[in-house]
Amino acid sequence: MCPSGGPRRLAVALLLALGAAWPADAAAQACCGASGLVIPARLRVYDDYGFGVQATERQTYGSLAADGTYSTTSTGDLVTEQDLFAMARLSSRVQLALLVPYVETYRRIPGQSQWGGFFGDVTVNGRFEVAHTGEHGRWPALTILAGLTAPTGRAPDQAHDALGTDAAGTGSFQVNVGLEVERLFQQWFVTFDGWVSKRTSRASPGGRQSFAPRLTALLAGGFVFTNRLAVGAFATVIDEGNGHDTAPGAGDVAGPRYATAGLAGAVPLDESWRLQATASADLPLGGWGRNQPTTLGIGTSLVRVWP
Amino acid sequence: MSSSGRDLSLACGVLFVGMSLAACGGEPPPSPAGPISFGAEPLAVLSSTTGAKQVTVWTSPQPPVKGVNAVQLLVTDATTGAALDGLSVQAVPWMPSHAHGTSAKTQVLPQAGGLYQVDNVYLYMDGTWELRTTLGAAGGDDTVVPVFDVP
Repeated sequence: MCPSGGPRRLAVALLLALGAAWPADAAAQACCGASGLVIPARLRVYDDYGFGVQATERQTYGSLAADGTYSTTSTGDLVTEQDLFAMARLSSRVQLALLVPYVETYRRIPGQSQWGGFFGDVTVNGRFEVAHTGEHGRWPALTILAGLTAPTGRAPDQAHDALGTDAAGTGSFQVNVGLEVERLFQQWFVTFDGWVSKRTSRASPGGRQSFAPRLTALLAGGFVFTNRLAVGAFATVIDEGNGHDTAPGAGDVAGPRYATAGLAGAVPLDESWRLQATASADLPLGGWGRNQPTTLGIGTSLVRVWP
Repeated sequence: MSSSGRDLSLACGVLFVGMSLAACGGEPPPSPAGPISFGAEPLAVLSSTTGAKQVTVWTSPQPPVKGVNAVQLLVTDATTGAALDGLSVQAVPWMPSHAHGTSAKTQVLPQAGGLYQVDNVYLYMDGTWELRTTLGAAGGDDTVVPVFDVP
């Protein structure tokens, strides 16, 4: 099914493997962020189905206040996450993926600390591959993205722990639609993902809070070595506008805005197994970001596919 | 065991080793960092949503910190300045930018002279928190929303 053989096919395969590594760090944040559209579950064009696990760890090292002021913290949350995911190709151009996260949080306040964990929000993603790499000459690959996240995890105000450490959900549904463009240049590759997300409203004390659309842009690039090792870098920008709360005394609520950058690598163990790793940081861009903790993150994934 | 079975076992092993870390948690519920004490200077003086009441706000510690805080409210008539006792006060911490509250419930202790003390105010994350407070009265409910920036 791959339109071009040899190095290009290899590059495509590794690009997809590498691309699968970073979205969890780039698109899902601590307690309050929603799950991303792109998840570490993506089949190559000649894979039929697969599954995998991903373990990530994120340490909060600061926060961006509502006015954009950045401040550091020495008592930030430590969040670890284990994701179990599965994916299946329904046709030559359509694939679906399911991701089930389990999220644990270690939280400290003066004099006390707590560990807690629970299953998070389950996500179903779809990819419609309009054009594969090399299918139309020099034109890039083009994919339409869509996803739905269900509030299967506990929201923080529904947690059992006093510090909300067993909360792993947002408390509302989220729908995502987007577009992905990929282009190869010999052994180099560039990928751009852009999508818009919208959460359903949820009850707040005395009212109901609605959310503005969230825009996400992910730019990634890298290099595939002849020994099939792939390395790359990526940057993500997320911006959510003003939501609204109908509670008395409330009103418009500014959503989060932040940027993340990181490095990634992928090692195909054989034709069926691949191992991936990422390291990323939310950037402490005072005056630009807002309403978001900043974290340092690492992640590893083990993926099994059936070509 | 088949190849598929081994694959599944390996994946599940990686997953549940991580999950087991969470089972190690659990410590006693947090308590206030120190004895509750309110200073002379208020943190803020606010009007209620209807404008009929004035609410003076103190916190302990002041300004509030990441952790367990206490809040004292002095509720007076905005026109006459008379202290308003006997209100049914409910206070809920809420983090508007993240659209969530806390699982811990606050405790409101009415005191004389229009004073209401709100204990167990868990502000466990950095950021902007609201204390959405309902001032219940026979003539109709009113609200006030003190805002706290937790560094």
